[in-house]
Amino acid sequence: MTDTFRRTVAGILILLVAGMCVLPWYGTIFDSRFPTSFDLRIYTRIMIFAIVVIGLNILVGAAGLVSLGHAALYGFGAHVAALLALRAGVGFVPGVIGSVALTAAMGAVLAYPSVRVRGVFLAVITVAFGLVFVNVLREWVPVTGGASGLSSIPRGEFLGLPLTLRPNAWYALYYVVLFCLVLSFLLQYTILRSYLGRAMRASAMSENAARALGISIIRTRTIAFMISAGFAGLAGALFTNLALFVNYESFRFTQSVEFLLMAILGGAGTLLGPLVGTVTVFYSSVLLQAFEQWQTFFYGLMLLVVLFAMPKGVVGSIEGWLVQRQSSGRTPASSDWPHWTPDLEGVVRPPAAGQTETLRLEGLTLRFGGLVAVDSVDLVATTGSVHALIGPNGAGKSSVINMISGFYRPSAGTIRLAGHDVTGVASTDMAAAGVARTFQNTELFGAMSALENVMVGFHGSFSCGILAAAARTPAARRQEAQARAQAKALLDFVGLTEFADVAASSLPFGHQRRLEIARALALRPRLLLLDEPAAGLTHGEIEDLVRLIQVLAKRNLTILLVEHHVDMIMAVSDHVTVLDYGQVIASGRPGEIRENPRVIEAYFGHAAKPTPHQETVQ
Amino acid sequence: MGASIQYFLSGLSIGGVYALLALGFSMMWSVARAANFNHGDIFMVGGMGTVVFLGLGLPVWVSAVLAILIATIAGALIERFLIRPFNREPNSVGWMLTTVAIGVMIVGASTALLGSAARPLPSPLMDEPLRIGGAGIFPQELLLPAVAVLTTLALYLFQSRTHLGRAIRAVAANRTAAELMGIDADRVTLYVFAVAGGLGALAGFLVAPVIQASTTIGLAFGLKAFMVAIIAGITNPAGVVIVALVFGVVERFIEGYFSTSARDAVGFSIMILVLLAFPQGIFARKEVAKV
Repeated sequence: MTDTFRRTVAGILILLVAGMCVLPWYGTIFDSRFPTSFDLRIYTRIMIFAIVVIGLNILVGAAGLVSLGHAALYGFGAHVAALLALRAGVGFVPGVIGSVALTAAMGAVLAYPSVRVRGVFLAVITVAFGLVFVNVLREWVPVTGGASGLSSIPRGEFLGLPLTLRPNAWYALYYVVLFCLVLSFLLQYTILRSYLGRAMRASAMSENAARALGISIIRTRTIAFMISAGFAGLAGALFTNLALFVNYESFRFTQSVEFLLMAILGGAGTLLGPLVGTVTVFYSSVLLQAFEQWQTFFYGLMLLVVLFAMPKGVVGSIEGWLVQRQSSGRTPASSDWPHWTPDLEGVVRPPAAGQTETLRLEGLTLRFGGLVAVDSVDLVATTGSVHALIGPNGAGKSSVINMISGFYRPSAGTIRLAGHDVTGVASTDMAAAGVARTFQNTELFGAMSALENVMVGFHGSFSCGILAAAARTPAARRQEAQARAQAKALLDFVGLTEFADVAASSLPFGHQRRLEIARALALRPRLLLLDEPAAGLTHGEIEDLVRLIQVLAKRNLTILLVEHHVDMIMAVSDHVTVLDYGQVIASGRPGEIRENPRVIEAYFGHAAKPTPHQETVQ
Repeated sequence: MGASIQYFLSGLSIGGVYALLALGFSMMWSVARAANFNHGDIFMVGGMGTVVFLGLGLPVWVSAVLAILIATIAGALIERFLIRPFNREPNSVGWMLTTVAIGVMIVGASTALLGSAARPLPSPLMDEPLRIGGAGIFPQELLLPAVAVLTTLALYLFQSRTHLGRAIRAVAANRTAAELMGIDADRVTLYVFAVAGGLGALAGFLVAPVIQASTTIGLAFGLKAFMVAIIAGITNPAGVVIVALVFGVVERFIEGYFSTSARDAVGFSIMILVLLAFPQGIFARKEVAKV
């Protein structure tokens, strides 16, 4: 998106907010009956809905999770506010804060158990929550008032003004809700563009890659749901102050579907989508009221039509169309790589004084049921060396990489990283400990730009909290700027500067491999695991890759390389370990390995003799 | 004592419904890594459909067969048009949204056409209760868990003895490898969704004489069955059926010893706690994520 476009959108939004500010006074200024207090009530209600949908948008659009219980969370917030005001005499502001905090906590309770295995389960739990919530409201009469609900809730006050929609109180409630909506919109913007927002999107696009970069999927998703629930709680508290009456009728499953429809129709993951979606669906529902019992049927139909005809929603489709129109310009080109600059000195972690070995595997074993995939493998990678791990297909090379990076838990044996025992440590923590990896089948975050992909790699380097990131404190801004600058330097290192804004999935294959290496380097690793980095590359690209590996090794980065290209292995490795059927059959300098009869046998079988011109061994 | 037996038996009965629905979820999930979120509404079609056809003057068995046939076709259509195109990437959520949408449409349309009142379905098996240790239970109620268990056994036999059954297992184990072996994984998936739809409607037909049929009944039943399947370990059919029966009994005991209104809240809370203790499900086979 160009700056001009962004400025135009910002300008329109500022005008819109200014218009909304003036709106209540329109009647006074132009001596018109519009807007009546009924009109203002509707607008306030739409703004409250928009706050819920903004929260849902973060969940669906960024974290890739679905909630079918947002009406219940909204109702939960409304009831918390109502009960705080009725039973404890709590004022407006503390009541709202209480609603937000308790609803977010409720969100954590729902999300944590369900997102551990699959995100889909969260959707199931949210439906359950919605049903139970309505059930409890209906049956727990002493607290919730049952079917008659909670009425005569005391009217809140803000800055000494009663929260009404009347001119004598300066339309205080309208302005408070408008302020909350603007605040929610800004928070949506900062959260989605913070390291947390990137982590949410990364987790939704590739769980494996996110974990390899030190992102905890469970934590990220739980936080995403908490944030989303927090917005629902805020909206709920505002609703209580608008209606001064709550019962379960407003918070049923159909309302959850309506919220979801608003988020999807507007365009999940876009900034303006929630506003567009809320207004569109709200006014369609007014029209649909004419159809009475058929109303819910039409919600379903609208959702289905949007999913088929416009899966990116209104705003998403328009954005896509604009991007397409712009990209007709000149195509970006790759620059020379590897391009080492002094900016990159911080990329490799300096090894501890006196450290000579980075990785030591002892008796490493992995069993899948009866199958022994890796069988008592011993391996030592000295600091700053390039260690190649070769062997025929199915020899267990990738399994070794998966154990070192914490994706598989070894059945037996130990893994030591710079002398520390890290056996069985989870992938997220291995990344934090300085183990970076690439994947045999590249796992990029397809819809994110090349620059964003690398910036996800800096996730662990952010020390500012979530609130600081959302509020954009000076510390958070500084860290963000630093990550961006370093990510640019890494893109430059692999020659992809001109592709910074291109979506990773539209990069040519060779470029994707390079981007994955740049992203892995963002972890500031002490050990880099490359799983077949040369597969699918051209001759020229392989030569560049060899130089890149040499540049990194010269700076004391230890590299474990799984490869099939014999030429490349001979050119870069200091040491070669050969696996066959999960066992180490040879280990030594590249020259020795080439002559080793057991290696030749493993690759070619008994009868074959080595051919001098063999270049690629499969 | 009599009360406990009563709760146990009627719990098994409702557990049989959960079992048949959860089995459907398990089958669908195994082959597609997705499921019809509105499976409960297909279940509703089984009961309501039978009642409606009966009202048109058709004999009960013809009505039931028609309703189950409609549900079977609906299951296949939903897979083909609402799940398959929206489940192309590993973490897709599109299929959830489309099936929720169609579920809302089915419930909305049937409520608008038929009203939300519950409709009775007469059954000869509801005339005379059996007396077992001081408890009274109708044969119709005992039919449900029996059908659930028999269906599971039949499913196991089918999956180990027939060509299509083995193809289903192959697709469940590794879709890509199955396709490389010449199995039409899409067609297998379609069949599985059709059968799951039919089983769901069968459950709806069998339980209608016990609890009456209504258009809005599906959401809660479908949801509980999905949760049961999840906490059991969704790819293990036998585990799913066991947990479903146990959950039905637990619900009845909650109703008996606390109150009917506490049933759902307590039941769901228990399921969330179980999920905390067994994130993969109680009877899960360890799933090795391919990296």
